[in-house]
Amino acid sequence: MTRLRTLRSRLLLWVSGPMLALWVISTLVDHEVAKGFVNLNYDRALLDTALDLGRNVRESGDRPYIDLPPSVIELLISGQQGRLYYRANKSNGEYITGDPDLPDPPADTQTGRVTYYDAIYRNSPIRAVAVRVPVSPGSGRGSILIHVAEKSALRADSARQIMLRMMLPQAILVLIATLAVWFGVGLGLRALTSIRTEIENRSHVDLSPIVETGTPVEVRPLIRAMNDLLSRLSASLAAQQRFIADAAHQLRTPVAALKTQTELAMRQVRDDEAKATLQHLQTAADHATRVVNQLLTMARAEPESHRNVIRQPVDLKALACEVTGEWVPRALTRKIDLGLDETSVPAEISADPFLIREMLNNLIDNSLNYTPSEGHVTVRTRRQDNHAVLEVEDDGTGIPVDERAKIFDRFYRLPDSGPEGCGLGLAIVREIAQGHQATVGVHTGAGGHGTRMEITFPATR
Amino acid sequence: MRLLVVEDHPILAAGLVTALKGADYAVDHAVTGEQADHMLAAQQYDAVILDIGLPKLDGYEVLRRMRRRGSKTPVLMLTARDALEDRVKGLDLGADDYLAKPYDLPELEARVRALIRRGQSGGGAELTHGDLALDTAGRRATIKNIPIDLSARELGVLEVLMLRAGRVVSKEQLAEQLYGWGEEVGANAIEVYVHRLRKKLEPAGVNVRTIRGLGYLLDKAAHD
Repeated sequence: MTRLRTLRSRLLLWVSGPMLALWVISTLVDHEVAKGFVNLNYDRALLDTALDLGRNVRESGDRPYIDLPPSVIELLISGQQGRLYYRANKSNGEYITGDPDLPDPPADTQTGRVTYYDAIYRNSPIRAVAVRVPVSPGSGRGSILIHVAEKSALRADSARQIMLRMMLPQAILVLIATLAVWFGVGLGLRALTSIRTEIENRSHVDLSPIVETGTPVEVRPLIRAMNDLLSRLSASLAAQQRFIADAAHQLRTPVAALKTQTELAMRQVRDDEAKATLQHLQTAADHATRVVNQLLTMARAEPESHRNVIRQPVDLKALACEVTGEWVPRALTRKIDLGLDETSVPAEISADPFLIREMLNNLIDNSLNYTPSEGHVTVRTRRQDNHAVLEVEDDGTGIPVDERAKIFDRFYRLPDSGPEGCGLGLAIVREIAQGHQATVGVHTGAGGHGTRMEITFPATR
Repeated sequence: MRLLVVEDHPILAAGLVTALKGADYAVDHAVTGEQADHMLAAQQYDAVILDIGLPKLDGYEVLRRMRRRGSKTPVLMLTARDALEDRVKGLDLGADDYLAKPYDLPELEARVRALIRRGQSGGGAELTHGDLALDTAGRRATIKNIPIDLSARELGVLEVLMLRAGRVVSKEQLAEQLYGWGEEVGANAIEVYVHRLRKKLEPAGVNVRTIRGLGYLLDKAAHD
């Protein structure tokens, strides 16, 4: 049997199993009780018949007989469900009238005036009564024995009928009880459903405790356990955030010292060879800066750290203007024409401005790295069926189609890429996009050259 | 010009002091927030470079006490944290500029120059860009000391471009600047002013670039 996964089906099994067993047992008990009642009534009817016969015993000389016309006797022994058998004999056993071979009561039960007994007659089980009747009451002339019997099968039939008639209502009861459990459990679980809805509707950054009031007492330990887990999770996330902030401080200050001292040394040194060495040092320090910044952004963009995300209205175009402008001086030193597409339209999204800014920083940085001098990098914002779209397009080396799926992996770098970048830029872009339920598309740029990265934000209202 | 550098990292502080001394500033150095607080209370500085992450008394508190004393000395905050809230907090407390570590030394030097200029703007300052000079108080521009004929609006555009040399200036920023002179200025008018300015500045070898969709950028002067 497969494991029952819902509480409802388990409860149903636990309740309906015993109910069915009870139904069977009660049916058997009913049968026994019915047999008892049927026996009692049928025995009384047999006795009545025997007494009717006994009341009409007369004596003619020394020979007793039943003083009834054959038609009346016939009427008396024709029971409701078939003919009865009867026999009368003297107390010494001498046959008087009736069915001559009707068996006597078993020897050990022959006591008292009235004796009921079971026996076999003409190969069928029968139920019989033997009644001792005085020949002439008060005369002291002795008595005769009257036996009346009928087939036992009649009684078994009646008992079975009664049992069957009781089985049906009981089956209906079992069914109703089962349905009551089914719906009752559903109603009882509604409290859990409301808790589930509360948890489902939470933003993934909400780690506040679940409200306990109004929930069933049975469910509270579960809620408490969950709240306990939430608070531990929240504490560990806070610790992680503190660690990130501390790590930022601890890493950035020495790198700043390194950069400052290198820059100073380059100003002081006249020797060209030493200058070249310092230039390498400067480049390495810049690289370290980028890696530190990207690692920290990565840590911050990870979903687990989204607790403190500020969602606020952000105009993509205004943000694109600002961020792109900041990159223009660097693009100019590489003789790359970086700009904002004139067709860009304002497009408002609900987002963490810091993270969206970092996303665009990484997209532009990436495009500049893969665009040779005299190339173009264009940032664009547009609206497409209620979706705000942010694009960065370049006419650089482009990304081969079979590499496109891999470029978002952490530390992945295109095989022929230069020394710049550490392979985290696009991973950051993807993390931030996911955090904002946005999708990232990689396309070939206009005219079949370069790359167009497309961030599509969820539809607004 | 007397500057105060407040930074607890010894090598970084030494580098900053050396660089700023090399630019002919008199430079004092404080290692802790308390020390900085005492020095700022005792001495008038032209600008302060203030690290936020200081032991005991942090940069925010130094800034708060300074402003409470009524000091208007321009402050450049340095921080190793780049969270937006940190930045907003610093600016709310009265910092004039903000730079995240690790920065490029020339960038820091340029910001310090801009701060000092801002601190003196009451008296008017002279902006120079290679052979080009602009007297913001006298509203007069010269190339190699020969005056050039610029309208008030062209001068306004030039001032903004020179103040933000090497950085993009949007048409909106230029329009805002010119708004001070009277009626509203449209984007087309800005294009006209820049076009005229370019022609007049040609002899000085000054290049005003058009940046697609973003605005204009005055190339940094060769020695800057």
